[in-house]
Amino acid sequence: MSLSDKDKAAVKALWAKISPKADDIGAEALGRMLTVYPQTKTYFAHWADLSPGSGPVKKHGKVIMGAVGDAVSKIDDLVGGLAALSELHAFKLRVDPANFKILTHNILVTLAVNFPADFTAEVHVAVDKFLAALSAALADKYRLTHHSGASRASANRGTSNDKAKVSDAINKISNNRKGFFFMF
Amino acid sequence: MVEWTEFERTTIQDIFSKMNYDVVGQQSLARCLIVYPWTQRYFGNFGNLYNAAAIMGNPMVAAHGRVVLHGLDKAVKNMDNIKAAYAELSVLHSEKLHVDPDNFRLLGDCLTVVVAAQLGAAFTPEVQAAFQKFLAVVISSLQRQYH
Repeated sequence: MSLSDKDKAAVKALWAKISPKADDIGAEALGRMLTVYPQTKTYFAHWADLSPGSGPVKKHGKVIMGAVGDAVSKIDDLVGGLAALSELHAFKLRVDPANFKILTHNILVTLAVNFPADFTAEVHVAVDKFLAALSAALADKYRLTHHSGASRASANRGTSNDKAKVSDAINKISNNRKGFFFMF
Repeated sequence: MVEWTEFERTTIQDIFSKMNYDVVGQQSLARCLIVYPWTQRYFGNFGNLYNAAAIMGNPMVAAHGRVVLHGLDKAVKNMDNIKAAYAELSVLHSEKLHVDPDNFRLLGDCLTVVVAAQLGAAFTPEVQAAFQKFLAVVISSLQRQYH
């Protein structure tokens, strides 16, 4: 479902309004997800405290919402713009893409709770479409069997900066398959 | 048999006892038709659904939203056997209305958003979990008689 100019404008306008609270929104959305969908906790078994409002949840909520904000600025080319993040999720984190929908839902609920007047039905549909497109871009590098072929194909879509990031990611993965540490 | 904790029971009864069914019904159904426009396929005779403003102001949408919420009320009043309480409704949605059950989830998500907006901070993660568990049971019961 492609984003119309009206959708993009609505997303940018809402982002402008909510970005000062981005960290809190990220933390709350993550906290809701871990509580309402306990199966998502399996990805964070290494955290000391998984309760809403805990240190690790707040910190990671900030990381997530930072990436969402970055995606807003790259709204005209999400697949290219999120190529490196997609590599991360596909090859290192190996998050089941079904979970992207779950986090999306909890971001929407968080927006409804905190910005009820701004989160009209029209804004809701634009944001839902945007987060769906973001999720698709995040899943783009999944199930690619030939890494080098994949990086060439995706490099054609991104900027030269992204091409460098992607080939960098591929080099790191192929150089150090066992227990590599992906810096992000 | 679904096991409900005390907290879950109290939360569900509390939310629905304080709810304005007319407002929440209209808001949830309208939002569903706007956010997931393919759901409009079931409402061909509802007149003007051409844009968000038309949907929000449509009296047939409002009336039907009310019907849906009162249907939910049946589950609120029969929490220990929603499956039995919804057997007829399930047959209706499958055999007569021919509604794709995925739509129940879409409407449920819109209802969650509307209730979240109404309750604000009181819609804590724990309250959200109880509410969504309730909706999941309702949706499962509505799907039960599909063959």
